[in-house]
Amino acid sequence: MTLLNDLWRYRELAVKLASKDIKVRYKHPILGFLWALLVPISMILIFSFIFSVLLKAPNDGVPFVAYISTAIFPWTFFQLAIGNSVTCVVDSGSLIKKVYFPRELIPVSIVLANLVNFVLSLILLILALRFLHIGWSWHLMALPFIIFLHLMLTTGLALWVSALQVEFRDMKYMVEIALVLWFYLVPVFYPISIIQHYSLPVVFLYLMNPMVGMVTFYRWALLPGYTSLLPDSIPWIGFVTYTFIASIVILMIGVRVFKKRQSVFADLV
Amino acid sequence: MPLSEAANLGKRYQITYEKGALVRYLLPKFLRMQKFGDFWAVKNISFKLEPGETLGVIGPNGSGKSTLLNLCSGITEPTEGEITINGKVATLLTLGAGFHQDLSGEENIYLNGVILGLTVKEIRKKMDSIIKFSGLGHLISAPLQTYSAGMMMRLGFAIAIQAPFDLLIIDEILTVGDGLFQRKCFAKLQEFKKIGKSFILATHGLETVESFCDRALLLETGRGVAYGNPQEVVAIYRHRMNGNGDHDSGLTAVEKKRLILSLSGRGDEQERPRPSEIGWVRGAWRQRFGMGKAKIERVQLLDDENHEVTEINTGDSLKIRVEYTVEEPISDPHFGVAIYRDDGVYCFGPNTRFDGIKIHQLEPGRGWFQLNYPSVPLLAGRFSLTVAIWEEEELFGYDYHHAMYPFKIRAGRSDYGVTFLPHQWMLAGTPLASQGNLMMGYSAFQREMEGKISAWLKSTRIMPRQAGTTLDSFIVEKDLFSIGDAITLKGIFKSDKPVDQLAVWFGLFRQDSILCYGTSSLADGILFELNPGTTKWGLRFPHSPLLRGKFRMAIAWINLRQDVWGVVPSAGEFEIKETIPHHGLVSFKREWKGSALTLWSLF
Repeated sequence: MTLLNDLWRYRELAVKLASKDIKVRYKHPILGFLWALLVPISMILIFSFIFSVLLKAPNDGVPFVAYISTAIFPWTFFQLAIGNSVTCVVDSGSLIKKVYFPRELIPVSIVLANLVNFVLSLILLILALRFLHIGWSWHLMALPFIIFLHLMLTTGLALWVSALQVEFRDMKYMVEIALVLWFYLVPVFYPISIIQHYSLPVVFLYLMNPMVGMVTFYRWALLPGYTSLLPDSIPWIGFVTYTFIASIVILMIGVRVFKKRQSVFADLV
Repeated sequence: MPLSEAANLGKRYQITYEKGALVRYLLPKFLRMQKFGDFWAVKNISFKLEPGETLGVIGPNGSGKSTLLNLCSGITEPTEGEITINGKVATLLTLGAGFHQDLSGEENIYLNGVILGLTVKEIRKKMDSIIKFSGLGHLISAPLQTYSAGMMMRLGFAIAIQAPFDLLIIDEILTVGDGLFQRKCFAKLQEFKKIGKSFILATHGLETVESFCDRALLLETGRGVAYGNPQEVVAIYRHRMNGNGDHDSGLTAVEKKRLILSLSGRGDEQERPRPSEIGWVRGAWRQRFGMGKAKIERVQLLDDENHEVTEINTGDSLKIRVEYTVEEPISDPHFGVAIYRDDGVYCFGPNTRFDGIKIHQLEPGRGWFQLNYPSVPLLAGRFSLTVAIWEEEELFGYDYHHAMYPFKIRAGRSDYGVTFLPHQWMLAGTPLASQGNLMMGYSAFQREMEGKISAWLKSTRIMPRQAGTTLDSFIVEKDLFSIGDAITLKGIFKSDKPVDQLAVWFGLFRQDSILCYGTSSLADGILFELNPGTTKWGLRFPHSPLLRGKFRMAIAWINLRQDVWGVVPSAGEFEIKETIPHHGLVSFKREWKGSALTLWSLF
């Protein structure tokens, strides 16, 4: 809980570092911060064009574009946050060597900066759902909780990989590869129901991946009637509980790894 | 309760291969690659700091000052020992930590401020005073990438002093920036000190330590050498810098070399004691050291006909020819040749870098360079030559032969001091032509007079008026000159009765009491005639070759029959400031030649 303590004490620094990240990102482009909106809008448009017009993909009651977007945005957030934070401690070497402040703020601020973009695209997505005649349900109320859970998982991993990268500079490439593989282990482009065709151990192994749960929760919150698409063999309560616990455990491991290694950061970066 | 206390603090670094950390981690222990070894950056350091006290950390480069400061600020953790701090610590190890080039000055104030531990609210409140102290004005809204290094530094300091602290840890940052801003920063630190704030300060500014600190700690190669009263510790450091330190205290060869390098003042630009300031560089007298790669094979002192010489006269030409071999290509080296008098006075040490000669590359094989002095103005004495091939920034020498080549200059003129200075005696504003040396017949007189003058100079006693002739006023027209300027000194003699044979003697001393040049008007065959009343009298150096430093004049006047009439030990004071960087006391005409030099350059 020292992380939460530090986070609270240094919340302004975390916010400043994150906002610096966002500011710097959109400082030079002429359209500036508009890009934070234009990129997700374009993505939604491209998906609808490809999947609804070109591929005429089958839609299990839900327009395919909505099915994809509800998963692709959470995934993009996860992927960018982890990808950006791998090298962040190493890159902040000059700062780490010269000033003392809680080091975990560096990866945390990167995750926060990406979260801002993610939340913006979620808002746009929710508005777009209206136009796709899908509508909203009371499940939307659970969204903040899901985002919080997602944030814990992402922060935990970000702390983990950024701390290891200091000593093992190969981490960056391994994470890059792992993220590509991971993408296909998450039901973004395929319905989760396909796992029904596999044996029980495989299904369990598959469901160990907390991102499967995350994506499913986002869909559940954003797409009314999505629960019916879940395979019957998966107990909903157990699934939620497992993902919740897994996220917390990963966060705790991440914090521990980071805490344990941060004393040598200044010597190694 | 002490504000800060360190006990047996030590920090070890492992010098390992940079790569392969993961592989080594995964491999069984006996298969892992071997480490280069351990290196103690600091070891067994203890100190105590009461609230309101200031500790100055001094020592040559690489002595562990920064490591110690990092340990104090919690940036790195000690390998052994412990440090406790009972209060809020702020660090100023760098200015503008976390500054981002793309953001405006104002945005960076917030960013840097929160990193230093301020809240956004506090920063907002202090914004005006930060901008005012930095002197940036409306430029504060411009992006940082448009700032000069100096502007960034000013902004960094302006923010840093707003951070709350009980103990501020500062690493050598105050020596950057122009003099005005430095004074401003120091005034601010004095203010903090007055209200009971503490500092730990690592610096090369020994005067700062003496005047600002309550305690001082001297480090050498990571070990505490002295701790306590700042004046005493600084004195010990100065003593050791001059080469009287105990070099053989169980140091390895590499450490020793480094120590010699740093003690002989060859750390870096900031570190090096300026020869003109300390007067002596005794570090490694008659020693050879260097990194290798290039080797000085032969050094010859040649006369006009290229015969080797060991003795020359004042005003003779001297060529110094150096042959070297290079083992592997060296980029951007420079050559240096220095002359020391054997009592340690650094006479002149030009190098190709200061003379603006760029040597891009030394190729493997044999090579040579030559420094020609058409006329060496040094006065009688024994001298030694230092010859060196340096790395670009003088961080280390490839081969350095310190004071290894002795030569002698014979007594010629009856002047004394280090070097002859071209001068003109003046009467009523007109230069007098030299009449030839009248001193030949007066050598006994000269010796006797010298003895008297030097005794008077030592006692600084004002001579009683004798025979009614006094030096009524004596002024230097300006007090600040550049190298090569004409310097004129004017005086008025007052006399009750006519005096027909008055000789004047002057001695020019540098601040560190080295007599640069002393001569009598008799040496130029000039005797002044004084009418009753006032006589305007003067001395002019049409083209003063003296290098940087503060100087003073001593004047004596002598009647041939009546001996010495009066002495003024400190008649005129002036300063020569640096326009071109050179080492030593006096510069003289020279010419560089060499196999790696594209141009033959004359200065």
